[in-house]
Amino acid sequence: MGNPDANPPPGDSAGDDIRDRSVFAARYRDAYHRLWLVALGVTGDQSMAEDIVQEAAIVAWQKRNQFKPRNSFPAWMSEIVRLCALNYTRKSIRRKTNPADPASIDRLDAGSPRLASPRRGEAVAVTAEGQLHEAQTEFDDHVVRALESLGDVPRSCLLLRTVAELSYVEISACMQIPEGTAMSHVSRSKARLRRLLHEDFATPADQDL
Amino acid sequence: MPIDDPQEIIDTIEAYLDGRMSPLERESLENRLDQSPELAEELTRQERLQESLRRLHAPAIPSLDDVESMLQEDLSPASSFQDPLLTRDGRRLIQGLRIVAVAVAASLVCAIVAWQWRHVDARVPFFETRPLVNLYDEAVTNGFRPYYDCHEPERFADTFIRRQGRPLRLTAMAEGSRMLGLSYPGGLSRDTTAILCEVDDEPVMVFVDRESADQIQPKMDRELELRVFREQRDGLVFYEVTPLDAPRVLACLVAVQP
Repeated sequence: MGNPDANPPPGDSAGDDIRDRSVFAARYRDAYHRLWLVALGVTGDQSMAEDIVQEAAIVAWQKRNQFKPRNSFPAWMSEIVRLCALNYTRKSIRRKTNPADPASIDRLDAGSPRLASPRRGEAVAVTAEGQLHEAQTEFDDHVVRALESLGDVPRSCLLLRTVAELSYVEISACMQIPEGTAMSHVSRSKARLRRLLHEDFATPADQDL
Repeated sequence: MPIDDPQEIIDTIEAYLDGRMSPLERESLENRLDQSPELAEELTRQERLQESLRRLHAPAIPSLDDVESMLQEDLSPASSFQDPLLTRDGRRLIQGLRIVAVAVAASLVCAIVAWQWRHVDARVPFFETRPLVNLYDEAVTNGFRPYYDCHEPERFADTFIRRQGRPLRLTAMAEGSRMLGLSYPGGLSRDTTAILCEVDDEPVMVFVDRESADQIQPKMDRELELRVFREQRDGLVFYEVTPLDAPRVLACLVAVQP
């Protein structure tokens, strides 16, 4: 893995006017992955994360005149996504229930209530015969459960760093936290995952993967 | 130099994967991986976790056309989400206003309920004024027995204090007259107090009430051959209903100072 800190922030092409729908759409699309991760980090729910990111896009588009061109578009959007996601979680806590859809029910049945990926089948490792590798999916399930044990901010930081490969500067801007705090969250989250996975998944068969 | 401490191995691999090593450090570590199974194992373990996280978090990124059409379609200002750009103070203000609104609404409901409750409470039970001669006739028909045989002056006075707000005293009655007791048959008001007496073996009733409760009474009921004598004094009104030609009890009732 190269140093992600050396990469320029995606979608941050200064000078474009986001009040133009095409420009806004392009920059939103470029930042989509990180925005989705921010929403997922807060809510812990993949399908809800998609809805939140979409809702945030509409909110941001309606408030596009408030965006200052000198600012980072992904950071601005991330803040909106984060606040949308926090609104969602506040409402969920008040309701004490979540909207149910078939995907959620499938995931509940699988014993992994929120974070398990409905698209896991598309990207999961397969054997030479084209079969899903059982041990790999089992490991993924353990990872999902371990992620659920993290707080929303540490989880967001970990995903932004590990999955989206954002620099700590970018994570700091997205999450509105100091760079050192972001680094600390990532490190502690990894340590926690390692510990939980070691407890849950230290079997001889695991070592053969 | 080999690394023996497990935590140091973890930290080294983490720094390597996290891009926190200089090119020189990276090269040095990569050279050591072949000689150190512990380092290689930790690298495999951490890479596996990293790959799992990436595999699990690969969203379907919408196409540009989809995004543009989404922005074009949804231009309504209404959103199912609370406006996320509100500041924390703004949200607190709105929350505070909601609390105030709820408190005001609750106070109004309480006030209305209390008013209704008081209004209901203030309503007196049904009462209808009746001619005193009819009450006299009923008393005679029913044997002319008082509800309350009251012969102690103090209790007599207390009864009128309680019901009419003024104590009354019954002075010595003429020969052939006696007081039987008190009844509360209504008449002028719910609090009307009747004194049942026998005068020359004839039943005589005196109805006493506050002046404010006074009602016009027929002077004589021809069918019953009764007479009704009225006196008003000391804030009280007295009606003596009698078959006799003159009042014989009214003069014996004296209002005293409480």
